[in-house]
Amino acid sequence: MARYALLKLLYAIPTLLSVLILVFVLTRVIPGDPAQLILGDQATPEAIANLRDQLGLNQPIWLQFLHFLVGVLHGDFGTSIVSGQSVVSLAANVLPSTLELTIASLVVGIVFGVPFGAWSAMHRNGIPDIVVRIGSLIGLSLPAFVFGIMLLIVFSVQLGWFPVISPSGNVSLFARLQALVLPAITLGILMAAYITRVTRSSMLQVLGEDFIRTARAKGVPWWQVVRRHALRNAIIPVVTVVGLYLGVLIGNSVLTEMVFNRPGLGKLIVGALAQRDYPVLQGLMVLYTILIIIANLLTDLAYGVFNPRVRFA
Amino acid sequence: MTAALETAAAPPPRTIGLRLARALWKTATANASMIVGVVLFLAVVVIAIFAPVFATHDPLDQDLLARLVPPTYSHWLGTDAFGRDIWSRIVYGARISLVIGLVAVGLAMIVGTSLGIVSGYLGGWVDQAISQGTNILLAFPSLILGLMVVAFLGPSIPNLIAAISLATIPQFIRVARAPTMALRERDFIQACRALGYSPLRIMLRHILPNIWPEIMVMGSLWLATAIRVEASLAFIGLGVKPPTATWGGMIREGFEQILTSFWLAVFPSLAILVVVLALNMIGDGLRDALDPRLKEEGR
Repeated sequence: MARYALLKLLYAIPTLLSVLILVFVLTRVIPGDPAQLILGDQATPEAIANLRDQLGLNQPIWLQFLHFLVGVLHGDFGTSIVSGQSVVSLAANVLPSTLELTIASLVVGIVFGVPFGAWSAMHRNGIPDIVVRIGSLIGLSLPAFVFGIMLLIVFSVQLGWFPVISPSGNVSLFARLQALVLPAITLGILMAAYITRVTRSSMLQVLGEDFIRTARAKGVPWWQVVRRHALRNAIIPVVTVVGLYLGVLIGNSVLTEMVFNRPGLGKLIVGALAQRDYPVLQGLMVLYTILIIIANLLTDLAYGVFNPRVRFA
Repeated sequence: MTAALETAAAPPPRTIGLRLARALWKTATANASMIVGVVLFLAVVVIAIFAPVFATHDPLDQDLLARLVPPTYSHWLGTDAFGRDIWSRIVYGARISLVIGLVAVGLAMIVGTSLGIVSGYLGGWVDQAISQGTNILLAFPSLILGLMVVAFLGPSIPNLIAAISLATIPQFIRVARAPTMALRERDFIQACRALGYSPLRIMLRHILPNIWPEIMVMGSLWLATAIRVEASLAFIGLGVKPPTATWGGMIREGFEQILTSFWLAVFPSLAILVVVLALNMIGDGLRDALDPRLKEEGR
């Protein structure tokens, strides 16, 4: 298992490097002078020259990339030109909220997705199947912000069960969890929809296998066949999909954080966009991709745990 | 000898069209949700094309005496903070969503499918290079990649199209590459090779028609995603610049008034839901009809 993990880790390195190149290239193809863009039209030529110097824009492009790369490797993702704080410290403050949200919605997705998917497969073309399929299709089609706004109107504004704006700072655990419910459902519904669909099709395939018929023929009770034989095998593709969509989840957390006014990486990005804080944007992009690569890595590891066959491959 | 090869080389020309037609018919009869999807989507396309006919007001016309009016007879879906008619803005917003979505996915389809076929058919270092590039782009979720590109290039229709295309291309590469690799070994392709057909001719005339149905399924599903991503970007503030009406942008503006005037955000949200749902229904229906596993079971 350790060798498998190490191998996966090594595979992540070229991906990370390519991603860094892509981010770097993107930030350099901005039309116009970045310094001019950051300072606006009113800036004096001296101020622009100073900033160009400060951002290292006067150096040859390969040296700029080298500086960028060395910085990232040292955990230096740049400094905000608005607040002067380093991107790392800005992100470290809000990273727990984003992770909290992502994990909570992952839990929502699995708790709803797997049972519904299995239920649907067991009643193929029956009423439960039709209901679940329509439900998952709607869940898949709702952009995170649309569903979030609907939940906000009903449960926070009309019923007043949950806070409209997430509290920040030191609040009680209960208040923290209370503020997490709606965002986690908003983001989790998307995940649940994906997981339901994959569980269903994977389960349908497994239920058609010979070993299921054998188990049935030798008299194993139906629910035990499902639990011990079918679900165990059907879950393997689900793990892959969960990993694949973790990225989508992280991406959509931006929208969820905006709707619920939660602190987090997403709000940080939106703030940086509004203030044209390019160094922060660049740093956050790198951070997001690192998060996604870590998520993929964890998926590969989880895959190894759920599917013993790959460990020895 | 040559005649025998000719016969082998030509996949019976009508099979592809027949396969798709039969699949469509089977879907239509067996899958009511696909019919609903097609009808809904065509309705939106018609509304977008004939926007001036369907709109009751000018989408940009501000009526400061009728600001934040709830849905009434003269303003079916109410008005926004500038007194602009929501229904008319939704009608015109459909144009932006559809144009960006269709052009972006169309582009991604052409580029991605070509790269995928070339990669799968030629193999070797070409395949290595294209696959590596695909993996890198796949590491980004479409929303984050779109956000990056638009944030740095600036929000305009061409940039939005480029951003969404870039995020979608790897999906088409993936879908085109695998079946091409399998087809390459089939007898009729081998026969084409033996006849000395050029690789370009084989790829275009013999491989492409065979993977076309799968590409169409992907196309409809990713069109749904593209429209969702465009709306999401607009909601974040990276959409086509105001005052142009876009669904995501309307929701963004409406969100500020959510506590007092819910209709501002709710109706454009429903518009997005309808289009994305319709496309997903079409894609699902097509996939069910084309999936050989489901066919074998006689459904």
